[in-house]
Amino acid sequence: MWTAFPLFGNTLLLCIMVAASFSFAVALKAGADAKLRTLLAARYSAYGTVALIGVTVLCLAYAFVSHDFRLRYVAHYSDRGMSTPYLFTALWGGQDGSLLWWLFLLSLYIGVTIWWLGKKYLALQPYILATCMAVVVFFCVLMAFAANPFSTSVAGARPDGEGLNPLLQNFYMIIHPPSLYIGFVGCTIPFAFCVAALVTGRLDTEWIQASRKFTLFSWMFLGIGNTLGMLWAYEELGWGGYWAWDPVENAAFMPFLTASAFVHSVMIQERRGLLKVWNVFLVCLTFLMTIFGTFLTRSGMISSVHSFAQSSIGTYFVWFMLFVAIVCFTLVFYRWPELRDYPPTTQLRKAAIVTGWSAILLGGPFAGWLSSIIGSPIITFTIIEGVVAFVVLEFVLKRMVKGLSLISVRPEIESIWSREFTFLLNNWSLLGFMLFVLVATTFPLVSDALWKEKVTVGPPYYNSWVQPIGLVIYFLMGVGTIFGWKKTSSSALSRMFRAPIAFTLLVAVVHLSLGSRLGYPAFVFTDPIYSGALGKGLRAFNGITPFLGVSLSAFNAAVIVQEFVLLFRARKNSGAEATPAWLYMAGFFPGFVHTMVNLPTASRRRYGGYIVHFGIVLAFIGFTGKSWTIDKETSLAPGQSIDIDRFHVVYEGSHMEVDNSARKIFADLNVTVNGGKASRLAPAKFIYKKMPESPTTEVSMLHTWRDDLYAVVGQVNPETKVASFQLHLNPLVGWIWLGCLVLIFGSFICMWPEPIAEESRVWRFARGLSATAASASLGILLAVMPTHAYAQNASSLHAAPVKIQNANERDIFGALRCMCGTCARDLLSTCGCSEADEMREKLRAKIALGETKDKIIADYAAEHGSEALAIPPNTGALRSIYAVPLVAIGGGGVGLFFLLRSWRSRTQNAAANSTPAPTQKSADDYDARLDEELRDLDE
Amino acid sequence: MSEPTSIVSSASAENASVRNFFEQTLAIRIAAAVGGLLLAAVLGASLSSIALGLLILIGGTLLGVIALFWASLRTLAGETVVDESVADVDLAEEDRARTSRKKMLLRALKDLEREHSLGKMTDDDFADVALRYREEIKSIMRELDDDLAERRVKAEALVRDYATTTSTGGAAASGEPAARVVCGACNASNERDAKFCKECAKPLHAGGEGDE
Repeated sequence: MWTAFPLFGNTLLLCIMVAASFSFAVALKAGADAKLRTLLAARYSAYGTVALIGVTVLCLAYAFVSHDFRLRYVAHYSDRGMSTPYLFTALWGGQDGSLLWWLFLLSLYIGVTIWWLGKKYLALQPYILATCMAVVVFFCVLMAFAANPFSTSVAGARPDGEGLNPLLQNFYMIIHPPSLYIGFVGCTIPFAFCVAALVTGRLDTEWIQASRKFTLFSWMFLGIGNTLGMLWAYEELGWGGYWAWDPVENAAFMPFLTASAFVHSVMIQERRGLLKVWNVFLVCLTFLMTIFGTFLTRSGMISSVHSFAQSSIGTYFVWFMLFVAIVCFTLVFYRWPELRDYPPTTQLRKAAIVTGWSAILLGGPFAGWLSSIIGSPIITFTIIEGVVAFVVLEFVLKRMVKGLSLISVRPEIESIWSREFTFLLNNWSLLGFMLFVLVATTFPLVSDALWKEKVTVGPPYYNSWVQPIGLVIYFLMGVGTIFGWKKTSSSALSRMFRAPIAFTLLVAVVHLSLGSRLGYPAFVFTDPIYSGALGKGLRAFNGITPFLGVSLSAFNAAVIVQEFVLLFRARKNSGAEATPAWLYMAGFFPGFVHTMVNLPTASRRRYGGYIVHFGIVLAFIGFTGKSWTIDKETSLAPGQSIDIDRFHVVYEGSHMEVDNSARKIFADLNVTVNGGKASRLAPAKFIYKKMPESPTTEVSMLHTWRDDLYAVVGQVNPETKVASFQLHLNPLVGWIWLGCLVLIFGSFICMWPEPIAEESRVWRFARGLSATAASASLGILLAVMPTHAYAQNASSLHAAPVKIQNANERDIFGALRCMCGTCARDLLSTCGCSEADEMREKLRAKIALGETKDKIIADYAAEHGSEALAIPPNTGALRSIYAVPLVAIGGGGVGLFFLLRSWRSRTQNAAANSTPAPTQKSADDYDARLDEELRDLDE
Repeated sequence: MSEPTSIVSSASAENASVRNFFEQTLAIRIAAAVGGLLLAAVLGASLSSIALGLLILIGGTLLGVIALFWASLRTLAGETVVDESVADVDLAEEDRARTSRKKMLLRALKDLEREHSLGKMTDDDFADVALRYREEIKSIMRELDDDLAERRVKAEALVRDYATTTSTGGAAASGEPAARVVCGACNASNERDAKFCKECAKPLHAGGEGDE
């Protein structure tokens, strides 16, 4: 072992910084002098930087393999007893290493991008490289100064390391973070393309087409990562659900929402040249959201299941986000004329920059400072913001653009009844959803800063608010599909709506009449989260969500099926259907894939999108199933049984297995369905030698397509063998995972490479298959590689069976948080720690005394502060948690209305001006040429 | 004998680099190097320990890093041959706007046809909207053509100028620059800047003395 090894690692980190800075500078130079020679030099040095990052990762791997416990990181996450594969996974097991891992993934992306760019997009290339290198430099600075994986421990080398937390050794735990990483990191590449387009001013659809594959790829992995995260929560956390609206889950979900909005809105730009600013904004926002997500995970500012130990790196992230935002804003202002199709004059550029920045500075920091002095911050802030906007527009902008002819040569649209418009609605609702989640996630911070009030935003809050928004998006998904581009004839529209609506009505009637009998009642009412009218309204809406969910799923499915029927009919009529019939005979699927892959590029993307939509429908059916969950807690002696819906569960006794690492206590359950087929479940408690004080809960499940029987065991009395159980019947959960698979398939169809004209068909198919499969399997390989990327503290796994005796208790416990100080965000209804037990006993005593629910909750809040409530109380300024996003969504709606009006007036003008001259038959040769070009057009 | 062949081979290498960037023409060699490195690492790992394998990888990749930065610096210093003609011939900004708009409109027209074939548009609506798009595309095509015609006139004038000033034999009369040089000894056609004939290896000065 070399004495200088830690120093070597540190030097490598610094070298990356220098190398990346060098590439950055050369790339900028290449952009400035537009010489191929300089660009080539930049490409080489970027490759060099990528390789250097590889070397650094290899060095850390070497440190793990050679047990170099001088390195603090190595000592903390490995020990001599670990097998080699686990040593490699420890590479990204903790914070410092996972940052390096992040950088490594980014470098892989950069390498692939440079190679793929090749000779294409020469004008954009320099700035793409420069942007990527800037991000690399940031991560290097972060590691070198704040989270250095090569830093040595002060006390010198230890004889042995601490090893990995055994609690983290779960398959889904292992795979979901890297998959998210791939999605997160991938968002950097479209961002780099966008910045390049802004810098060069080439703001037509070029950069969008260039970055499309990367966008889709990262979008897909964000989707996969989120689904795997749900699977992990479901399989491992043991509270019976899959999504707890934990801040980190939200952080991963928000870029997914903005990226979804982006993949839709770019289509309008491709076809209309509209929404340029919006698309740029969405890409930058997605990138910022990925950084923000990392920031949330790493800074430990908001307590969550996932948080790493608190550290100083939060500040670095804040500065970086600020820097990115400033650069993006300035670029957008500078390119304002191009983005809005005004004549690009220097005067207008100056005006845009001055106006924009004065609006931001006056509106942001200044208004914030002023409103913090005046009081009632949110309202004052809004008023000041309005005044500032007015002043800036009236006095700055108007003065600066005096004398300029501001006639925008903007494209127009033919009709409101078009897909263009429904896509706008889609963007509005997706962004609204994102904003809602964003505000709720950061609300604890905001409320602490503004009102010195600590609050918790727990799952009940999200669950009741998110349903209306989610269902609106879901509804628009179906409606938008029906509309065609440009203009949908009203007769066609009513014809298209007929079949889906008929099917929806049929399903709705069946659901209403048979639902309760089948165990899926149409209406399920829960307790309101607020008292008063708002609570009642939300409760009423949430009561009918199961019905709406099922009906809308039927509607969406019918719409998608109808689209495919139309496609096949059109292909048959035009004789374009080239798929041999035997492929369809061989179980439909091969034929279907063949047809999809051989569609023209634009159609292929479109129908791939519909397949993705179908995956979302399946997932939504699964989400709807949550309404019909049945929870039971019970204590059983061996031989006793319990019935849950159609399952008859018999507790047969417990047994124990002991191995090197843990004692494992299994409770054996025999389950029969309707008195028929029997199967066995064995939920368990694992007590690891390393941490006997916190045993882990091992879930055991019986999966069927209809529902999952989810069994968790709590205490098992060693003498009497009496065990406490928690049984959940989760209907339709499997559909979510199925939906994710369909979504992946659809994304593949979208990403299928474009055909090259001179290729033979077999070769084309082989190339397509290998390119798609290679990129996807590489991603999945990276995703599935065992890792423990979130060094989770044990407390997050407090979830355990909690004995709850009646509905009243469930309501009260569900509204209160465990305040032991180590549990992250667990509610009294799920937290299994001893303190929570004590607290529950106290509350039970109060219930026995006959105190009302409201009083008990109020007393608890008075004792522990409003932080102890599962959701922020619906009082005073705290109302802004839902008021702010709702107002913003409403404002967005108003904005949409005005946009619509301007589009429409332009449309009418266009209709009046353009008198299509059918007399102009002179240019017949042009017609022929046009048809020819149309035939050859293949985006 | 060896000289002409070396010229020919270097010419073909240059042709290849026109199609691809330097590193992409070297794909096979790079793949071989990476493969060899991995093989060596695996060998090292299996013969001794994983640590040795990793060290081999680290060393090899570091060499690669050095090579890449060396290449970068050399390129920057102008010590390598770069075929500047690879660079996209950027159309004038105005034309770029026009062609991209044309492409967008064509795409829109294709969309229309698709929607029509799917039955989302009645025949009347389709005829109405499509006609408007066709007219717009045609007008752009016409503008582009006019532009092109202007340029063609200019280009032809330039060619004529060039032909009259250089007067390289019969080629000048037809208005085409002499792209090839015919060997005086064996009548083989050679590149214009060739010094020796690629067929008979005789010096070419006799045939094309006009250049030097």
